Amino acid sequence: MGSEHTNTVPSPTLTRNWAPEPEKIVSGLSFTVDTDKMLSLAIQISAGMLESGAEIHRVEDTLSRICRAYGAKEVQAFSIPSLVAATITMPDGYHKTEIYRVSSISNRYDILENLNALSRRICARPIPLDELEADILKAKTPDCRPRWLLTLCGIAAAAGFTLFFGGDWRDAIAALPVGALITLLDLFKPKKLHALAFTVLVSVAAGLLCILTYASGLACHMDKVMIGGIMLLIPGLSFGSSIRELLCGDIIAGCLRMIQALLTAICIAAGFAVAVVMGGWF
Amino acid sequence: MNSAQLMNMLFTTAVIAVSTLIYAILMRVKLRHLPAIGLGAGMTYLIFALLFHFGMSLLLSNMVAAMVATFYGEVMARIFKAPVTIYSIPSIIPLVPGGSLYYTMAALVGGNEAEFISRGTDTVMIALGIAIGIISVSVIGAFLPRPGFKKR
Repeated sequence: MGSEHTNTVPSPTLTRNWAPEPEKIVSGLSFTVDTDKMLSLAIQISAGMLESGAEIHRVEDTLSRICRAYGAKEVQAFSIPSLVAATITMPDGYHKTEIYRVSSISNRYDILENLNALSRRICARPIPLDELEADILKAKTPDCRPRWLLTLCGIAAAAGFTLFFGGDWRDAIAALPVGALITLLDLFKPKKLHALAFTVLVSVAAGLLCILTYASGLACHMDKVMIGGIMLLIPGLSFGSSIRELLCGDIIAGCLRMIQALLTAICIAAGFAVAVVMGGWF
Repeated sequence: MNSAQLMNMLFTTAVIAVSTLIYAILMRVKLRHLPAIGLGAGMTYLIFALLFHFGMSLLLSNMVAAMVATFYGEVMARIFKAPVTIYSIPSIIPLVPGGSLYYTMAALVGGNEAEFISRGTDTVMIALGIAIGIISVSVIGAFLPRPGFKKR
């Protein structure tokens, strides 16, 4: 009896109402395009752009342009900061939907630029999907920027921001370890950790380090050193782009980004506040 | 404005231009964009500082500076054929209210209510000014032609 039940899965031809061949020759292209693979590659490109800091408008636009370039008759692209989805309809009536969940967004402008250039190139002249897959992999490989260089940049930026907000050279020196701490924590951030909890933790650690430099007599103005640290954490929040998205018609995406920006700002403030309170105990 | 004030302002401008440029490396911006980003950040701050010095309100001076920064971003993105974000986000960094956010928080922790309200208002004013500045330009920018893509 049990063996009969395992054979009751309906044959695929009964549940589909389209021609079942996966390879299709699209008019105007000199090669065959596997529609399913094309959609998933197009989504990979646009989701990669979203993950490296693109605006929603650009993500949706890229997705539909690529699908059209590969012969889709109709494209419905939709994206919010945590999701990219598209339904394409081919000229023969075949249609397919794919959804891609985006889990984290960070500023990786080199990848964003590579993918943007790639999408412009293939929209002007589509290339075979195997080549496209290799090109996507190449575009997603970041520029060679070693961690020590990034850490040095973080250190220098913290000192620079401290100077900018009115600290003297001793405050700038005190900001060096703070910048190193923030950048290193960011570089070696565990992937699974909740982003907001991580922001609070980094802020508390950085705040305590600022208090330490002040207590040890290195810095003259604790507030300037702290601002140097805060500035390193803040620009990652996307207040500016949330406003831009709200006004360009992506209301949902803009709201989500704005709430995230506000929460991040509150988390940074809360983290430094905890550090200040803890510093008061000593 | 006497010469000491002017030198101070120019020094601060140089500092923020270099800091923003370094921060842009952290954001993995490609090297060929860095000079324009440093220039944009310095320009944004200089405009803000001059306007604020000559008596414009915090909101208005931030607004005008953000407008210039966003416009600069739109132009540079078209010249270098790169996404606008690469230019417009770093150019805004000199205006980001990191300082007043800190003082707001410090006043809150210290229980200084009057200080909290005045600093908090400053923070909101700056954020609002930046927002209006970005809005007014990027809404226009959305209608400007985008070279590189064929019209379909």
